[in-house]
Amino acid sequence: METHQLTAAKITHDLMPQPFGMKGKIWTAALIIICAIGAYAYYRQLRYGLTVTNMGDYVSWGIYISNFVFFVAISLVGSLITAIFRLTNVKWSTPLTRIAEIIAVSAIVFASLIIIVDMGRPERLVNIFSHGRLQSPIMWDVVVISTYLVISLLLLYIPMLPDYKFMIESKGKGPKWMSKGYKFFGSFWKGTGEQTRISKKAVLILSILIIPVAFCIHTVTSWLFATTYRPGWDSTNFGAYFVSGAFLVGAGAVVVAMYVFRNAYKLQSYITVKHFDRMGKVVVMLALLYLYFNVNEYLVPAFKMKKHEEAHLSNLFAGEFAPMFWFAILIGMIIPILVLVFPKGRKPLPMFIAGCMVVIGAWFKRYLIVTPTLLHPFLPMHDAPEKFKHYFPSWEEWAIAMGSLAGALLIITLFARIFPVIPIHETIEENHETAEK
Amino acid sequence: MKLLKNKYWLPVLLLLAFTNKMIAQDSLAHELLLNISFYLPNDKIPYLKLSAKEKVERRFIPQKGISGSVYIGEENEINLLGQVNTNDKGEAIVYIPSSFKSIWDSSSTISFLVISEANKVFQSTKSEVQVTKARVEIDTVSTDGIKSVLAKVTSLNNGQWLPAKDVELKIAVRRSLGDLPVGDEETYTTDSTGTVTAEYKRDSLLGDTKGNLILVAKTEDHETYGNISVEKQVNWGVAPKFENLLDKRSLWATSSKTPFWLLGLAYSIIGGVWGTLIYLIYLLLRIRKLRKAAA
Repeated sequence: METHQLTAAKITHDLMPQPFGMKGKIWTAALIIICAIGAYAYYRQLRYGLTVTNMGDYVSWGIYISNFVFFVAISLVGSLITAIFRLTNVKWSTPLTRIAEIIAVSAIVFASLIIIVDMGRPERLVNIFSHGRLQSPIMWDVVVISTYLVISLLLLYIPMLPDYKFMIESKGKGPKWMSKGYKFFGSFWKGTGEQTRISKKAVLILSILIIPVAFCIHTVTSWLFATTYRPGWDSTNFGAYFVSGAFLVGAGAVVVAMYVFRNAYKLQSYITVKHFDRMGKVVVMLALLYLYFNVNEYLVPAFKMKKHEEAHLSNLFAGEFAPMFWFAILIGMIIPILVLVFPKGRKPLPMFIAGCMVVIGAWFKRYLIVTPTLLHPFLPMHDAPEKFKHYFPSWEEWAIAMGSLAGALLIITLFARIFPVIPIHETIEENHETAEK
Repeated sequence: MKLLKNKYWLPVLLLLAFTNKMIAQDSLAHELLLNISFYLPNDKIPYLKLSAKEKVERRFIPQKGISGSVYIGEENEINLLGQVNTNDKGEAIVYIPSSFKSIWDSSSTISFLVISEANKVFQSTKSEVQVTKARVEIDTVSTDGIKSVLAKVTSLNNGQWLPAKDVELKIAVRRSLGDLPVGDEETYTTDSTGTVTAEYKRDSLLGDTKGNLILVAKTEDHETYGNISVEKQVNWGVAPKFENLLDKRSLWATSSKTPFWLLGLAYSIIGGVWGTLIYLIYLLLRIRKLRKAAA
């Protein structure tokens, strides 16, 4: 780290949450407006039913479920950066842990919400719990998402306890409600040896616990598809394919967030070029891994070209979805690999662009996993109305989907306004350790 | 000469044209095969079934949309039972309402008439059927473990119900898609007492949930009595034992029938993870409590 020459006071000053500037206010207002449009579209969906969407008998899982899979995928980054790096004693990841965790929390919150949005009768949600069948992968998904949300919240909260001390001490710099909130959540932290010992123990347990749960959450999500006998989903590769893709998009999202926070809050001394370089290597490795699973997922069925898979694969490779498919493969994997494999490509700006590519490519990839398969059922489409054979989301679906993405970004934005995005206490400690060496 | 020619040309042409049209019309008028049958089902309203067919190259083709007027007795307005149109199978049904009871009771033999009007394809057709009122009774008897079905046919003759002999009867068990003869014989013929006895050889036949079967005795297209049938419920069948797959613990069963192995596995994982989370909450509470110690 390049922070060894910094004093504790400077670190505290630099890392404390700051009020939004003009750009921050415009950004927040834009997100609120997109969320409001999404909320209005959802009101229309509640008022008139799922008929406002373009989903039908064939494509019954449209953009909402694509969005759900995307959110679940991106939420896995919490386990990668926070848990795996922590357990493997990767010290350089310290400034990234909180960013990763807040991305995970906001994504998993909206993954849960978007599932409710997909329900025609959301008031019947309680029936999942009262009449849920444990045999159904949907039930497993409900259980594992709730569990992952609690673990992610704890993993965000417990390591932040030492930072509350700094936030409480900085009272008067922010609104009163913020000071009250800090006191409510963290005034009991005195930094005693016993408190530190227990908190470290809790973080260690959480770091171990989150890894299998994170693997479960995305494996179970993949099983929602893979346990059905349909072209494109009938795969034993799906669990690993989903998990590898999730790690990639999560890492891409962290890179984007790193760049934005670094520039917006002037954190160049904390999120350094070295961080980008190392995260770049991680992204390349994950992109190669995901590419490997993609080759398995598409090349092997294409080699066999079973009759039922043929229409689906032809549609992806050279048909209606070919532009989107190749866009997702190139933008989401191949171009980021080609950019980030060279040291110059791992500088902050190219990394930011590559991170954006990974995230955008990943979103379209989820759309491609869900929709084309639904358009190719095993049963012949005799006498089906023409509109059943194509799917393009209605404006309400787009508005809700974009509103949910904006909502997730709004949580991250507001979090950064209230809490330090880089752990203050850990940074000071590591700074001392580096200085002593 | 030319004038003479002109004088005869027109009538000859007209005659030829008219004759030609008549021949053409006559060849268009197809022959309709109209049939009417009488039905008296068990404890139900008697009805008549009309069937319309055309014979085309040795095959009988049912004729849809043939309208016919059905009369009880002679053709007049008062005797009109109804006007019907044949369906896709070339059939139509008309019930004999209770308002015709007086005509029904007036004689032991009743005739029915159906008249279909000529249309673009078929010429006008009539068909008549005469039925003598008859009754079929059914009973069962069990001797030395041998079960038999007894059926008796009586017909109305000068106000008296007399046994009808030499009547062909079908004695069967009602099944979902048809009637299954109770024994080896397809039909049985009544003796001088109007009775037939058919041995029941259909043991271990599946019945309803209580093992009940429906026995039926009937005449089929009898030239004098038409189609009369009578039924009787007997407890000679085997009650089926339904194996409800949803009743067993399986992956496709209801939530209350989750397999034990899945319950054990799922609850162990959920219990393990949530147990750890509860422990973490406890650790948080301990951290909170330690505030006092620090103070």
